[in-house]
Amino acid sequence: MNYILKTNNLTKQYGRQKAVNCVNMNVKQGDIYGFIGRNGAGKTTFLKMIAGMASLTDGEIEIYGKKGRDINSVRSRIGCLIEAPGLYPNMTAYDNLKIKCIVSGIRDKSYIENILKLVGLENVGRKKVKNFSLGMKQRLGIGLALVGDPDILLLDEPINGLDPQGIAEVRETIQRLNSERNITIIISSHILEELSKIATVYGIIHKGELIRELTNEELLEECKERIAITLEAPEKAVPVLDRMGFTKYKTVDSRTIEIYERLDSIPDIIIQLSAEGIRILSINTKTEAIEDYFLNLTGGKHNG
Amino acid sequence: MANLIKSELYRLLKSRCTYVLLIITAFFAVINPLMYKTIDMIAMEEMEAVVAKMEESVEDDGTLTVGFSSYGGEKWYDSEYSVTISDFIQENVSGAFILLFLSIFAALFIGGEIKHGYVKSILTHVGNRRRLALANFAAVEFMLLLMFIVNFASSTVTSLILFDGIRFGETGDFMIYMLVQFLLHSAFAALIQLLVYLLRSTAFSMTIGICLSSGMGSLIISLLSLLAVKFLGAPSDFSLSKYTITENIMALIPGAPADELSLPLIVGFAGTLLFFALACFTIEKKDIR
Repeated sequence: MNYILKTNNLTKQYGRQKAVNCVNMNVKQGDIYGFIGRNGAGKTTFLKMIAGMASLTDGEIEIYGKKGRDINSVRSRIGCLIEAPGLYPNMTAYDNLKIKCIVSGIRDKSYIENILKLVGLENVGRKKVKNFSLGMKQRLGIGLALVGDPDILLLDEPINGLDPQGIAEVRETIQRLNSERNITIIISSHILEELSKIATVYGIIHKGELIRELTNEELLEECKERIAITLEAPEKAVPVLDRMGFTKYKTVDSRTIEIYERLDSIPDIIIQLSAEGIRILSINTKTEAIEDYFLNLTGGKHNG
Repeated sequence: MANLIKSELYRLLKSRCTYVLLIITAFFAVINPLMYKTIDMIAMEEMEAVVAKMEESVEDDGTLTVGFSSYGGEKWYDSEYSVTISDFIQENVSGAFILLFLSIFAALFIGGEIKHGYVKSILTHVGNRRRLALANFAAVEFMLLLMFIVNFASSTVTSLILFDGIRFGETGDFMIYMLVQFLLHSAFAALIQLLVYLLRSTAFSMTIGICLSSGMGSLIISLLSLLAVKFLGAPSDFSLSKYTITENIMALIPGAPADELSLPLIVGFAGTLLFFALACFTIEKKDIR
């Protein structure tokens, strides 16, 4: 697999505390990578290491095939908005963008106007940033991250503190950037339902460790509606289910089978299993919300 | 690198503190010759009153002769020891006013980038962080140059308006003096830059800068000198203050002989190199918050 961003055992330690512990992340071109984790899980620290803001205690980062010191040559292909947007409050949105344009060697005057338009701030470009709402600042932060036409965008909690309309606007902007410019986006958040609307791949980080990496399809598969049957002897039920023509099912544990198709066939299953003398302890349809899935993975239901 | 410096200069020109501090610098440059003029006028008035009184006394008894009248009509700055425009400029520089404003500016300007988090927005485009330190330093140096120019222009214009026929002074000596002062001020700017990177606090760095430029550091330096004499066997006349940036800024005079110029030159050069190297090391090693 051709990954544009890879980390190998990436570790960051503060004193005795490992904020990021041996993380192996893999991101492909064009992915919208949803980086999920609770507060303090290590998301921001991880993104800071990718952006070159924090040093690595151990491990390695590979971006576009470059590692070690060579990485500086490709870091300019990364745009980032980490924590609060870094803006000069006494300057206008235009001037904030202009400074980064100068750093990036961009001289085209219409460039800034285009960025402002892209993030929906074309009418307030000459307004001082200190008079902006939180949502406007966040969008300007994204605009700033887009200066220099990055191939990878790192967005750390970009929808934090935004109202529903602001969240929708940011989501729309991210999706447009991904589809129109093929920008690879790594977006961290703990608002899972929102992330699930845009992410194509997920990485779940807990206590500094990346505990699961899965695609959107895999996640939906894991969370989708299913028939859950609890039996005394699941192994006896398998041939019966095969004879009934079920193909999408799996044995989850020693007493449970989950079926992912023909969800209205519970009465038939009961009749067939009973006819074979297989005792059913319970049978029902169930759906797992993404949030529940995440909480189950991180042990949140027990210690949250 | 050039783009980074350009961006810092753009920010400098867009910052309100740049203009506020340049106006204050100009104000202080005007104040100095103005005070001289006021004192001169008061002195002249008092002197004229004394002469008049003496003349009155002469008329009364008809015997006393007083030579004060020979002074009348002459200005003190026309004499062999008269004050020059370069004296006014020098007084503002060695009085550490510019140093004070420079330390405020350096803390605000460099600290602003860190405090507002803008550094996070540009870091991926910077490459090596030493470049960022160099761009910061270049902008502060540019501001220092502006302060020197404003001080020069304001002092010159005010002096020419207030004092008829005032001379500039020794141009060659003055140029050397200003170059050495620029170097010493640069060393101080590098020290403030180091403090900002190290403490990550504009307020703390600025406070330390103000204290040092106001000469408050001399207490600590005196104490350290005393300890060096007592415990390290340094000669009894040993004083660390001779080697500090602020002391050299205050002690330097135009037309100083070459042997007296060497110490401020070394202090300025070594200070700039040392503090800037440490600033680079600090910004490279510390994580950006």
